[in-house]
Order: sequence, then structure tokens, then C-alpha cells
Amino acid sequence: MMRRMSAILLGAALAAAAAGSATARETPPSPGMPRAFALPTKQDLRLPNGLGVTLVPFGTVPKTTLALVLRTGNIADGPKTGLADLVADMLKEGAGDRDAGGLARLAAEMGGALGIDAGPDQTTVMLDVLAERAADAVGVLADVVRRPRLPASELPRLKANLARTSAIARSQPQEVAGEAYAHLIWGDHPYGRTLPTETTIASIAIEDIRQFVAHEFGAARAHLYVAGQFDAVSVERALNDRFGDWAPGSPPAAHPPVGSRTRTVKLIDRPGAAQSTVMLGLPVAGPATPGFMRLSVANALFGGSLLSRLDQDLREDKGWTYGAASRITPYAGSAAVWTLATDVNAPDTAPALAEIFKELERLRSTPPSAEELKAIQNYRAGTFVIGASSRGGLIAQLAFCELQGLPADWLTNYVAHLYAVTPQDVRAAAAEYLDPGEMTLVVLGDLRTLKPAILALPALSGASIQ
Amino acid sequence: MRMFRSIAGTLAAVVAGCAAAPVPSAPPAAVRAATPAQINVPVEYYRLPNGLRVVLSRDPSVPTVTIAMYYHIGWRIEPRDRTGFAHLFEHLMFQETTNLAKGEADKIVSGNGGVANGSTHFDYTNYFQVVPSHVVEPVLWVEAERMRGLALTPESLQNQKDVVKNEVRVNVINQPYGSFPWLDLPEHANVNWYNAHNFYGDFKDIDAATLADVRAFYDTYYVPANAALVVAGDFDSAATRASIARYFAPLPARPEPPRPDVSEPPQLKQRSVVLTDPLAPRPALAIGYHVPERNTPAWYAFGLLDEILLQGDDSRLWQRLVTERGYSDSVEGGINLSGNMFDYDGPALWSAFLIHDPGVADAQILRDVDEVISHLQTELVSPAELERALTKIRSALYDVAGSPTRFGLVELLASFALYDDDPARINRLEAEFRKVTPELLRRTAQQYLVPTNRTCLSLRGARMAAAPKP
Repeated sequence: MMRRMSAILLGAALAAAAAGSATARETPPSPGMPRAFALPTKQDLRLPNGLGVTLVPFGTVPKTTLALVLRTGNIADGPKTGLADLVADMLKEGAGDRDAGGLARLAAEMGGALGIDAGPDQTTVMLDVLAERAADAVGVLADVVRRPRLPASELPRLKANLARTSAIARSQPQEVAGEAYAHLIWGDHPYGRTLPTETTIASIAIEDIRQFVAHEFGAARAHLYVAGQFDAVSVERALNDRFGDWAPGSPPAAHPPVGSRTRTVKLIDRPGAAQSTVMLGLPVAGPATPGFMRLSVANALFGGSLLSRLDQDLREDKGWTYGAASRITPYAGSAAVWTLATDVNAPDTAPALAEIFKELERLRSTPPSAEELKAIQNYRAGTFVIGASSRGGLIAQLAFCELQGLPADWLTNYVAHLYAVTPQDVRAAAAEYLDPGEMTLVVLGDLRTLKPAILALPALSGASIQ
Repeated sequence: MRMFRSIAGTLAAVVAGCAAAPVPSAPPAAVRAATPAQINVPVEYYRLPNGLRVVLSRDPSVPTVTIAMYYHIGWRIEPRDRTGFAHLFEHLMFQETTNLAKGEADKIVSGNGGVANGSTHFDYTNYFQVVPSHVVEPVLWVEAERMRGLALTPESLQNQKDVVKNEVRVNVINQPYGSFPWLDLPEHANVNWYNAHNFYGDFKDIDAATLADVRAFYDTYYVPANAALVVAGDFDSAATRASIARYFAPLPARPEPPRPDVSEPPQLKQRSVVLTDPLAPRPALAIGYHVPERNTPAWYAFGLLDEILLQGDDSRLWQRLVTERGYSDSVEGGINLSGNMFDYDGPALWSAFLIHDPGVADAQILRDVDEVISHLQTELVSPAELERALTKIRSALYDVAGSPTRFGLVELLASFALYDDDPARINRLEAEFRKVTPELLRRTAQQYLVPTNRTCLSLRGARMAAAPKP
């Protein structure tokens, strides 16, 4: 949760120059012809117990990334928010014949480290190793999910850690605003509770951890991805040996959320804050719905890329922020939320909000130029290739398709579908999905000076104020 | 928020993830030989008559090319009355040039399917992009255009001052632990101004910057002899050499800028400093030690001590402070927090830091640290533990070589070209680490990991319990 800045990052990111460039005396050379890019060939298997396996021989260096993705996470927390996070932490505390230190040393000897992370819908156990150790690494993953020690003696320490990291998160403006925003959008559904509280952490006992593992883990709700250079024969043998007799387990419970579409404003005081943290958005179509590609292109053009209108306006033209961005966050079952987030210089808060609503209206009423759209499509196609060119990136894309239940050709058709989007599609998608009248707005800042100007914004008239 | 915000971090962090497409190298059976395979990155290196260093590293496995221009100027030697200027200047390099309006350079990169960014560090400022292979030519032109024709307007200077101040607000001023310890530690552990000033910049200095300052800095430091251009990936070697000659050779030769004395006098006694962070809900502790001069045997040994002590949850400090004592969920750090052990050119610190609960005294944590270190000063590291440290380095180097963005790769090639005139060093790194003996490890720990060489920072929150509640 902590975001520690270790460098001045500076990103000069910039934006399409809408302003004139009429004085150019020398023009840059033109790009050549694009070269073909094909996704690497993968091999899909399914063990008799239901475990899905995807092998992707790939890469130029002798490394292998293995990821076991379990279809469970904070969605299964129940009232004990943070339970899935504690389960993930406990899995590192020893498995099979090894305690926590033994497990850590073994992973390091293989050239990697165990990474275990619980998300809203998925828990991922990841190990990135030297290729020669790929088959051994399969055994480590099997031990971690099938024979975890779950020592009660370590739980108080891990609970104290979670309490500390949660307290730190609650001192970070983006986390505070994000917690309030998620709760307004998703209510008491687990998606609406992003941070554990001292109460929920205190309520978690070792029995909860053990029951979670017993009930939520199983072959039929897991998928193992292996990407990189590896010896397929020994890896397949290992996964049959180590996972073949894993019980299928129970299927995940459906728990669809209902997102808020009521125009809502919540203002949170952070006295003396130098900047205001702004989050604005609403539930939208998920990846499995037909309108998703059109919406995601509209989002990229608006605030999802370095060329975006938001950055161009609020940063490169006004200088009010270091950056402004919008994104679509998908969940299981085709739920998704579109969110705009930015931190703006405190005195510029209300003017920045006015600009944001103005730009939203422009997106919804006027199709972009063919040139602006083409640049965004090129950018998205290029970043898709870059993303699919790393072991971790490729696994992330495959796991995303699996969670969303997308067809097998979704990735291979991605670029073609991307370029099929027209300027009119962008306008129509924005008009259909991005209605400011249905959006939730959270502003965290120095309310003593900012509140009157924010509430006076015409775009917020009639909103429910919290 | 940005796709690639930074390439800083320890070597391991730099290279997290990533390999490229299907060109199998040695089969696993061969890899398992007694002498492990090492990375073998292709390196073509030459200098143009005007002094520009050029490094080409071809790898056709993915149809993209990484193009990076590194200037041998970072925040360390920025003007004394202009703290933060090297970083502000980095932003200005994305503004107007003679032949490009504001924003057009990025449009050429991103609008053709690439990603672009820049970053500022102790001893370099870089501008880098990953683009589809067919966009190499225009991007080389853009880098040459930036080097020869910055044409900043007063409006863009003001705009980027505002943007930079907002960057400092979002990363430091409005953030708990915002400067801890990456800005705080150099400031307190060093005494030479060059190593100890506020690298992000005091607002009064940022506000005071003028177009004349910009011109003087540009003319002094942004010259061919002070830069390295790295092109890595799937490009045509002959055509790329020709393009580089076409766009960069016409730039006039200018003198390599002088480097001031950045040396740090030996530290003779431990420094302890208490900092207050009104936004922090928990106390924190950081320690920093001056490290041996780069490229010396002791420096390689220190790199291994870092792996043994701090990198990964198998490391000794992690096992003691996190797993056994439970002071925190993690302990982090390394050599040169603002980058890694290979990308600086001057004095550097090795540091470790953690955030802990109020009930734990710093003295108690330091006793554990001293015990762990003391063991390294008296006992020899076992062959198995040394091999594990070397394996971690080898694994990270493979990811440097195999990453499809190649950010870690171009960083090492550029650093070794600028600082050592020898980018092919990258292929000898592992062998240098392998020369380190358990005896040298112990001697290095005895010499450098001593309290007199240490600075301790204790961070205290002003309101330990209070955080804004919804």
C-alpha cells in the first residue's frame, strides 16, 4: 500500500499539441512501415481435477515466471475486511517442510522471491526463477497453496503489520479519497471496502485463515501460468505430480455488486493540504460487453494516455497539477468502474473541476478528429505490444481474459478491434457511459477555503452532498 | 499514473519482470553446468567526432526499439543558487524546440505507438522512449533536435515551474514520509553541498529560474561530448548508424563540462538526526553508510553485502527485523536509493529503512542491526550464502538483458559509457562479483559497516494517532 518515492521521476509526459506549429522550418522524417507482431504461441491444458494450465515458451534469457492465480480474494472477506490479505501474508510463513526463512531462502536460490498478493477477485502466488529451476518452482507453488503451515504464532505479528500499513494508507490523500470513493460507488459490497479497520483486523482469528484456505482454494478455481524459457517435459511432469491430486474445491460464490449512479458529492477535510485530491466517476460496461472497446478508446483519448486531453489541459496548459488521468477498473462478472483521479494545487481546485466537466461535455458532444483518434489508437496498439512482450505482462493479460471470461481470440483480435473504433463511436460511448449526472465526486482538501467554490459549481447543482 | 514513472530503484527493482519473444538460448541442461551461463549483451560502441558517445545493442526478438539519451548532468552538480534546477530542466526539454511546437515531440513518439519519459538522478538526466521499430528514424531526429535547438518560451518556463511545484506537492509536501529517506538521508549524511542539498528544489529557487539560467545550463551541459545515445532492440544496424551520423554529426563540438570536486570527506563519528513529519502516523528509522569507491574490489564486495543483508526476504536484516522481531512488514534500501549501484558517479550511500510502531525504540532496532552486522564482521559468509547472493545478481542481470522495455539495459550501457567509456563492462559484471571472497566480504564489513561511518534518521510524526478521517 505504501508508495515510497525513490527518485525524482519527473515525467515529462506531455500531450498532443493542439496549438499551432506553423513556424516549423524542418519537419521530422516520417515513420517507416510497421512490422508484424504476433503473440507467442501458448499451450493450454486442463488437469482432470479442473486445474487450468497455460504454458508459454517465450523470451531470450533463461528465466521463467510462474503464477498460480486463485479465483478468490477480498470478495470472500465477508465482514472481516482484510482477511484475504492476511491469508496471502500467512502463505509466506512456511509450507510443507519449510518455515518462512526456509521458503525465502529456497526461492532466492532459484533466482527469485515469492510474491503473494490478494486482489478483489484473484489471489496470485508468483515466483520468477532461473529457467533451470522451473520444474522445482512448480513444487514450491504447490506446497504454498496445498500445504501451507499457517502458524498461529505468526498471526499477531502479521495483524500488527496490516494495522500499520492500513494506518499509513489512511494518511495518504489518494488512499483516503479512494476509500471514500469506492464505498460511495459500491456500498458495503467488498469492492466498496478498500482498507481494513482496526476492528476488522482484530476480529480475524487463525480459524478464519484456515477456513478461508480450506474453502476458497482448490484446483477447479485455480490457473497456473508458466511463461519464459523452460523444459516443458519436466514442468508438465512436475505439475502432474504436484497438482494432479489436488481436490477441485468448491466453485466461487457469485457476489455481483450494484454500483451507485446517483450524482453524489463528498467533501473530506484535510486542513492545510497543499493540494486537493479529486476522484470522479461511475460504474461502466465491463470488458465482456460489446461497448467496452469503444469506451476504452474514449477513455484513453480523454485521460488514459500521455496524449490525453486531461493532461494537455490541466498540466501542460494550466500548470495546475503534476498529472491527471482516468482509467477503467474491471472486476469479475463484467462489473467495472471508470475513475478520473488527480491532485491539483489547492487554490485551483474549483477551476480544475470546472475544466474537467467542460472536457467531459466536449467528449460527449463532439467526435474527435480522425488525427487525434489515430494517434490514440497507435499509442494503444504500441503499448499492447510492449505489454505482451514481457513474461509478467503476458501472464497478466491472460489472467485478465480468464477472469473476464473473454473469448480465446480476444487478445489476437485486440489490435483489429482497436482500429475499428470511429470518431463517432468515441462520442457515442462517452455519451452512453460517461454521464456526469450519474457520477460520484470525492474531493479531499482544505475545505475551509475550498468548500464554497466547489459547491457553487453549476455542474454540481442538484447533487446529493455528503 | 504514468505507465513508466521511473526506472529508479535497486537493480532488482529496476528489472522486475520481463523477457522477450521466442529465441531459445541454451537449453536448461546446459545452463546447469558448473560455471553458470552469464549474460552476453551485444555492444557496439563508438564516438562521433563531436564527442557524442553511441551505444548500439541489437536484439531482434520483439519489434520495438528503445532509444535513450543520457546526459552526464544530474542534480548533484546543479547551480548552487538553483536547487532543483537539473530536474526543472528535464521538464523543459519536452517543451518547444526550433522546429517543434510544445508537445509535438511526444506526439511523434506516443502518436506512433511508443512511450516516452525522462528522469533526473544524481549524475545523469535521461530521455527515453520505446517505439515500434518503424519509428526509429523520427525519434532519432527528435533527440538531435532537442540537443541542438531548445527554444523555450517564457510561458512554457512558467508552466513547467508550476508543474514541477505540483510534482513536489504530490510526492513530498502532501505525502507522509514524502522525503524519507531518499531526500533526507543524503542531506544529513553528507557535508559537501553537492551531495547534500535539496535535489527536488526549494520553491524560491524554482521560482527564481530565468531563461538566461536555462540557456547557460543548456549550453554547458547539453552538449554532444557530455551525452550518450543508446539504441537497443530490433533495428537495422547500418541504417541506424547512418541516421545517427546524419542527425548528430552536424552538431558542433563543444568542450566537455568541468566537474567540480564532489568528494565527501571521511566521516569520523556517527550522526543521529530526529526529523518531524506532521503527516506520518507511525515513526520510522533509516540508517545510511558511505560506500567504497565505485569499481573497486571493496565496492563489488559491498554490492554482495547488500544482497546478503537487505535484498529479498531471505536477507539477514529482513529475517531479523521483519520475520523474527516483527518491527515492520518490510525493510528496504540499497546502494543509491535514487537509482542503483551502477548508475552514479561520485560518493554514494547504502541505506536501510523501515516504518515501525511507537512502542519500539530506535535503539532496540539498532541493537539488532548491529548484531546482524557484527556477525558479518567476525564470521565468514558460507559458500552457500555467497552463491545465493550471486544467484540473485545473475537472475537480475538476465532480466536487465531480457526486458522488452530494455530500460535497465540502456541505463547500464549509458552509465558505463558516460562514466567509464566502456559500456561492454556490462558483460563482465558477474565475473567481477564472482572474484569477491568471503574474506573480502568480512574485511569490507569491518571497514565500512561501522557506527562512525553511519547516519541515523529517526522520523517522528507530529500527531502520531491522528489522520484525516472521512
